[in-house]
Amino acid sequence: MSETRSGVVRLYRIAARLLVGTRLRAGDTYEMAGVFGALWSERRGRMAARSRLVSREIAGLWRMRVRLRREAHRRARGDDWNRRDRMGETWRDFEVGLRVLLRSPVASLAAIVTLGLGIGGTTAVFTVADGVLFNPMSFPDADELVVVFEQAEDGGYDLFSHDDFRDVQSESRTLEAMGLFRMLSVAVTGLGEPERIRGEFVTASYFDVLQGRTAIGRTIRPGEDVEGGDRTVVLSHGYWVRRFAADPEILSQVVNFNNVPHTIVGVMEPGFRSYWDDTDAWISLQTRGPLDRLNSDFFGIGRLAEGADVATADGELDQIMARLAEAHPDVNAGRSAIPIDLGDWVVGPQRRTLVLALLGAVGMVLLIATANVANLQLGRASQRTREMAIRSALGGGRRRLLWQLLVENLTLAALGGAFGVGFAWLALRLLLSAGFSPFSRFDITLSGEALGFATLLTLGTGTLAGIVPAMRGSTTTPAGQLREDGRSGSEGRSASRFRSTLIVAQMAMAVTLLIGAGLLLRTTAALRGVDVGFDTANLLTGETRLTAETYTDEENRRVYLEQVVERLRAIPGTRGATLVHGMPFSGDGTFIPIRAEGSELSWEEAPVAFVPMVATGYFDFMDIPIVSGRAFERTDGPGAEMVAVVSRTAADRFYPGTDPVGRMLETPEGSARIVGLVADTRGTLTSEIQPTVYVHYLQSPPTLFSVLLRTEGVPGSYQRSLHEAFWSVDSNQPLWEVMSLEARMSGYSTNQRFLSALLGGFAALALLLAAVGMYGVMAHGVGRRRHELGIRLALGAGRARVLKMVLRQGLSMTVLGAGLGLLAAAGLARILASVVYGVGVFDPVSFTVAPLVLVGVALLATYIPARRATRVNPVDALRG
Amino acid sequence: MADPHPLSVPVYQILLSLATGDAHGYALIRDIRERTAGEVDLTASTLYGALQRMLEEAWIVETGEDATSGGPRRRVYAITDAGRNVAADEARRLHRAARQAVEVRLLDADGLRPRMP
Repeated sequence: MSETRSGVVRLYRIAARLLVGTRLRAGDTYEMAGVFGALWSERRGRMAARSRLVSREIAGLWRMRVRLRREAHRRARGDDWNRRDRMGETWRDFEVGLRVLLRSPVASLAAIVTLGLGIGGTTAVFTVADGVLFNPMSFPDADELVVVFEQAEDGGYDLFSHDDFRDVQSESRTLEAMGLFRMLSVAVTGLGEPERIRGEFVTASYFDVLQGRTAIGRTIRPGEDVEGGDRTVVLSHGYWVRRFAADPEILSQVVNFNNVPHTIVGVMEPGFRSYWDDTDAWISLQTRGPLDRLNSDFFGIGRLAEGADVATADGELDQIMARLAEAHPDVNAGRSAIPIDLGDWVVGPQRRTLVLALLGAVGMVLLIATANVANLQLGRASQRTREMAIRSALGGGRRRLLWQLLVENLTLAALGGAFGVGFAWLALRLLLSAGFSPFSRFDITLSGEALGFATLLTLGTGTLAGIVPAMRGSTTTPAGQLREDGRSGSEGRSASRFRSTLIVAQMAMAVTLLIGAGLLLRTTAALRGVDVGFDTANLLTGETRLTAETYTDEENRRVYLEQVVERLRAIPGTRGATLVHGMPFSGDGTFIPIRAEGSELSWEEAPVAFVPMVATGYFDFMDIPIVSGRAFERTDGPGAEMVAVVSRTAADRFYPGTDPVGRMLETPEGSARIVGLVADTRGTLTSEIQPTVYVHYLQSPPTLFSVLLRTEGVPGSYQRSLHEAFWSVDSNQPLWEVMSLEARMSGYSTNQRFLSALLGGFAALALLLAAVGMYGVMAHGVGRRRHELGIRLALGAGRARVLKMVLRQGLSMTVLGAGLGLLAAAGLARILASVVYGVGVFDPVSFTVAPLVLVGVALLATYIPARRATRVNPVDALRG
Repeated sequence: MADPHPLSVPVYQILLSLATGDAHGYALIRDIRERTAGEVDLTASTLYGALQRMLEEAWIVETGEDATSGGPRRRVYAITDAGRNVAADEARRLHRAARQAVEVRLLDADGLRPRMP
């Protein structure tokens, strides 16, 4: 039995004994806890399922308690315990708690708001974490799914080839099913306006792996996913409704996908999701290259057989691949295969960092909130020790007193929780607001699980905040307490030390969050300041891929590309247009091994350069300075000598220290003469600058390319004219991702901006709560020490001296907390390393400013009670 | 008719499971979950709440303890004749209810899918 399991089983037994134990036979709660433990273990690795189980169990235990009490009542009185009695019983407990809270409404309200902010923030972030981290895709039994890659000798991941897949599929015992897929934008034609949809080319077995069912028709059959087989397609439910108005007669209709006729054979169920988000259609496997062993073009996905895990599957796949390497040494030598847990693969390290950082941050805010409430309750409990002593002397049992204190705290926590759920709803809407959040692709709504989590959290927080004061309150011995002079509800040294500890912890957490927020704030500033090397203003961009049969001919492609540039330049209100394969911030592009003339390097050793294919006038259009030589001319056509323009970094790589203009570059396909040298540009915000070798689009006409339009006004308002000009050349050619270049760029810093906004918010919240906590404790301390301060003042201590004394006390707690916080922040910084950019993770500015801000705020929070201490009138204080 | 009140879902499902043989608590939860394809998924508290009631009504009895697999001892439950009768009555009641839905043409004759209007 694992440690967590035995822990939760024990907790369950305690809960069961508390709620229903007295009315059950001995041993019943043991049995129940045992069954609960088994159910808990079943849900291993499924956090949402576990929290749902726990909230259902709590509800079940409560119903059981109510029923057992009703029956006991009925047996005793011989009549039915009616609804009003039952409500009354529950209500009375609650009412007592409420009355106690209303006795000091301001403090109670502060506690409720404090708790609510902590609980609400935690719930909202948990909801996101649950959706992203723990349940990234809504597949049946998603934890059995693995993505499978081939691995080259150097350990790099590679896609699967068709023939390797067929062999692995038939031989593997650890994979119950395995399929291939490849995601592509697919042009749909023959249905009116051409459009681009999201398509996945898949094998028949893909649907077995994902356990997908159709609403009508069937999925793709074996035999249709091989070369020469019937071309078939299965539509998503959403696409079927949107494009075909849910026409049930759709089956066996023929539609052109990428200009190849396909027969529609089925429509998936509405809830079906595959690897890619919002896939519109699953198309029988096909590819540009042949389906053989050489052409590695596909992602593999598999479902682990019962009893198998990722490690055993890895071992077996390596054995199978080793046999294939022996049988086909020419293509497969040194190749192996690696399965990776789908969740790990999809979530990715950066998003995981995000979620972990957020969970950590929000957890700290919750802890600070809890500490505040505990402090508040502790203060209240110390004022009530006399009341408790009297109650206890009058015969109030210890159990009964403890129960009452717990009910009070739970009432507080319940109100805080209710406020928190509202806050969570609001926070979640902000977190997921479109166009900003990196989580918007995930289907996340404030779910039942999250509410269950909030409930648990509320109960947990309530108990935690209540338990210390409750223990203090109820362990009081009446005689000792009544003998003491209860002048102002004095409290012991241990309690005061405990409260100071809480403050130190709060300060530490606030500093940690402030530093985290500082790092991200500096990162976003650095990202905003990145010089990309070209003019990004007023650019409207779009992407396309030429698929039609006619464009396989290079000359046709040249004519088409030239016409497109010409038509786009003619759009009124623009300052030019251009066309490029490998546009910055498009994520597209080609990398080719390149070497200098006369280099001894083999192609495997040659450095790889980024090779954009650009239109005439590209550098002028983008405002990329030409350092020496010339730009491309229209005369650099197919018949002329192959020419290239190199970037500064490429020049330094291939011809260090000399002027490269006039020299030659070699590629596996042939060589080109360098005619120009241009300044460096960036295609992403964070990665290193790539050596770039530009070639002319007339000499290597691309099939995948982007169009760019420099507009006079707001780029977005030119969308329609861009489409019209583009379609005026070929109305069957789709154009997608039409947006401004700046919108593309901001997509590259979304994670950082999102995290910096959230951490900033949490840090502000933490600072506020910590300041409130500090103020509360200092004010309470000054109030408690009125007597002592009065004596000091009466004996001649100056007011300045008293002020300094109180301030010093607050300051020492703050400095200690800040020191601990710096240590914690060093750990946090390591977690944030993958998103921090442009500043070191131990950025001295963040690590200095944050503690200073905290000390300033803490001094302010201490100053008000300290001032009050100097105004103590010695006479009043001593008269008490 | 033994009892005019319909049985609760957990009670009915536990009786059905016990009709196939004696079982301990966790086995009941698993059996019910499998048989109903996950539609009825009891928790420990709902299970023992129901078992306690059924013991009082004498629809089931404890037959002993199962100490297999070295784990903690677990009580084993068996259905009584009264339990069988109650479950059968409930099944007949549900059957009648389903037939009425077919009669008013809410369901197809096979009782599975809604009728197309």
